[in-house]
Amino acid sequence: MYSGYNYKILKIDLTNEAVSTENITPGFARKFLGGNGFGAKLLYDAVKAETNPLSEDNAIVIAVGPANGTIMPGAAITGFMTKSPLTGLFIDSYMGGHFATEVKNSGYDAIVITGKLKRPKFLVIENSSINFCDAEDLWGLETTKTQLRIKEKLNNPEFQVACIGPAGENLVKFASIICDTRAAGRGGLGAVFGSKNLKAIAIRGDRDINVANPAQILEYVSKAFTEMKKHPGLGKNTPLMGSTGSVDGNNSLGILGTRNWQKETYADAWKISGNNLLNRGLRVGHKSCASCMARSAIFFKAKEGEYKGTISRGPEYETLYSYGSILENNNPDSIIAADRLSDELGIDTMSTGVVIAWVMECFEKGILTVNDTDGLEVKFGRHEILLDMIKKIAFREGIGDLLAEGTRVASQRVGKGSEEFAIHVKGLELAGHTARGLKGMGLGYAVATRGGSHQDIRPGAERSGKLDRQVIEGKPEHVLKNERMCTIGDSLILCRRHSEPYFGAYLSEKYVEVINLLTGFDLDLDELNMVADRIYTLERMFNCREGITRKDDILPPRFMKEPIPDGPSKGMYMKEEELNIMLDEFYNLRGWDVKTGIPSEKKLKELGLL
Amino acid sequence: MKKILVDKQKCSGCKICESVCSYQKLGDRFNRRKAAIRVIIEGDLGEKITPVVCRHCKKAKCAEVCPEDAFYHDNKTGALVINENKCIGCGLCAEACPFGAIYLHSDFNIPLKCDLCGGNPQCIKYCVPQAIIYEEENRVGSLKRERGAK
Repeated sequence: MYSGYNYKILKIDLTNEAVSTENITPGFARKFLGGNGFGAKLLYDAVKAETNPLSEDNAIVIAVGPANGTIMPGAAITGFMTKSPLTGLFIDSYMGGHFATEVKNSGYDAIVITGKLKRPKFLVIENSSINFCDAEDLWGLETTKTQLRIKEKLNNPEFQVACIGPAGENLVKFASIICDTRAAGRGGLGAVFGSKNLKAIAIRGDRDINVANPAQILEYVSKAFTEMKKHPGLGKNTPLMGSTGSVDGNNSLGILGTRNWQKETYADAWKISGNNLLNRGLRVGHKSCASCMARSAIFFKAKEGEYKGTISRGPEYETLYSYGSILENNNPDSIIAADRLSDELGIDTMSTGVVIAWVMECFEKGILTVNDTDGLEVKFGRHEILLDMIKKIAFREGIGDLLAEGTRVASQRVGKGSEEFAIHVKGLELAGHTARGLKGMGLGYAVATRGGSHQDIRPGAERSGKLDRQVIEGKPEHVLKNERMCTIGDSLILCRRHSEPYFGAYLSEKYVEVINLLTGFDLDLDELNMVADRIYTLERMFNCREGITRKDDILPPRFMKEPIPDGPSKGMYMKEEELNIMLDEFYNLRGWDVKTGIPSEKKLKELGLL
Repeated sequence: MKKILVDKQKCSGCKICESVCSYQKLGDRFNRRKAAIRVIIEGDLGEKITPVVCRHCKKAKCAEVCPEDAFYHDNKTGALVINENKCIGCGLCAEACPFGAIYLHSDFNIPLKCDLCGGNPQCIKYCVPQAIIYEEENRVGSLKRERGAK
């Protein structure tokens, strides 16, 4: 028996309010590792092809891995998987905080939720006791109030509560799940909760957490801490400003999404940069997730205008992009307020910002007017409309009802050429990292099983100059190796903010060492690569089952037709032939059919998936 | 005598101290619910963070209420510790502690309480922001004084 696992899956059937448990085998653990891997396998088996994501036939998997509950730096992450209502494909979204520890302490490696409650309820999981509690009085509440109210009801602040806000209840296709101030933000998991009448899950547990070599883990962590403290990012910048430093960094390279990605430089970037937030004294505190030494959760407090006094745990870089630069909004106080509002309503800041940017471009081109927006002038540079637009979307009021379907659907319905500047991949709005100015990132977005996510492929290696960002040579291999790292990190589940700077962009003996110390496996790098490929290929199979093929592995038209107009990355874009060359090589490396992009039978057999 | 000094402002609520403490107590496992130091996180956004650990009081309320006189100060470390042979596990001490720094757990017959790990507290070694440090007791309050003086 390997350590690091509870060997138990909790199965919750909401329709019949019935629960059961299922044991997993050590073989299963070693084959799928945990978190991402468990989620991919369990969801693949639980959801049939062509299931409507918002029907009771869809499932939600909550999964943790062998690092969770231990003192491994960054071992705070909970994975949520479902069939996304936004993309219609596999989605995994990860959340920090302390929820994962409680899942592990409760004695489970994963929770599989199916069916639909007849009335709004919340789940209370405490070790082996599972209760369905009435949530009629919580329905409509914002996420902070929901969490506080549930902890009060249960009379125990040790419970961690993951909940949805009004956006999830209103089935906004990019609604998030919020726990503490952390979000499983992407892909509309909140809407799937809402569709099941599931307002929240409260969980706490008492069980011990075993690892194979606890003394060595302590020694390892002690050493890691010493090294991490010396790291310029982890040891200094991250605790000071979280990820907000990337605004300046990306702008200086000319790869900061601006004006709905019409441009990638923003003259006012400095105003919304982490440095300016600090200089203006808006940083009012910090916080960390479980077993975190990066302490990247920074509290910012708005100081000016109608936003004065609002505190948010954030914004982080992605939100400074999505509510800042792509809207050409240079008012950081409005971004702080919008960040808080989005968390309270339970809505993904990235997708929300991108869909608002799309509306702004529609205004610019005369496709939409104030007649479509109840009089709101949704124009680039206007921070005044931001909070109203977020509310409209979360409550599906007016044009918000259309926008709540996501940028892809909204642009298809409005038409008039607006699809050309709808910034999404496979329906998931793009994160704040260029697909034009970093060739590998572009390929990564195109093939990502999640769609426009920056968590399947990471920008770091190209952004830092370790790899030449201008060229396509070597990028398919880079994407493959980078994806493997993400897959394994998401399976353990470690926070990217620790693992990436400390372990690097690719899997290495460092990962092998940690995994063996935690579990007692004796795996080597080859086996670990195989685990990563097995998991990622299974996600791809989920998507292929929904009809995804090579033709879908593309970027938004803007990135494939319009060169970056100015700045340090001027002229860069993803030519179709460049993408095609990279796709050929990438599919070959992955063992997916080059013509169709579908995993080959040979590969599936090799990975033990057939 | 040395004490564990707490600087709330520095604590980020990662709870590594809890895990490390539990390992120290359990020997081969982690379980934050079995730690003698706890981090309390309160406030709307969880912004109020307070590590709670025994202050090793000189006129300790816990010792006063103990019906078995099980508490004593360790000569070497100055830690206020529980004589496991005398303790009956009634929990009166946990009720009496003004800081809530004594914990009970159904798996244990005696309360969980900081014993300074025999003069070598493990939790402080893993506290990255140094929100808990092991210092001479005359340094108590000094952090605040120095901050004020700045």
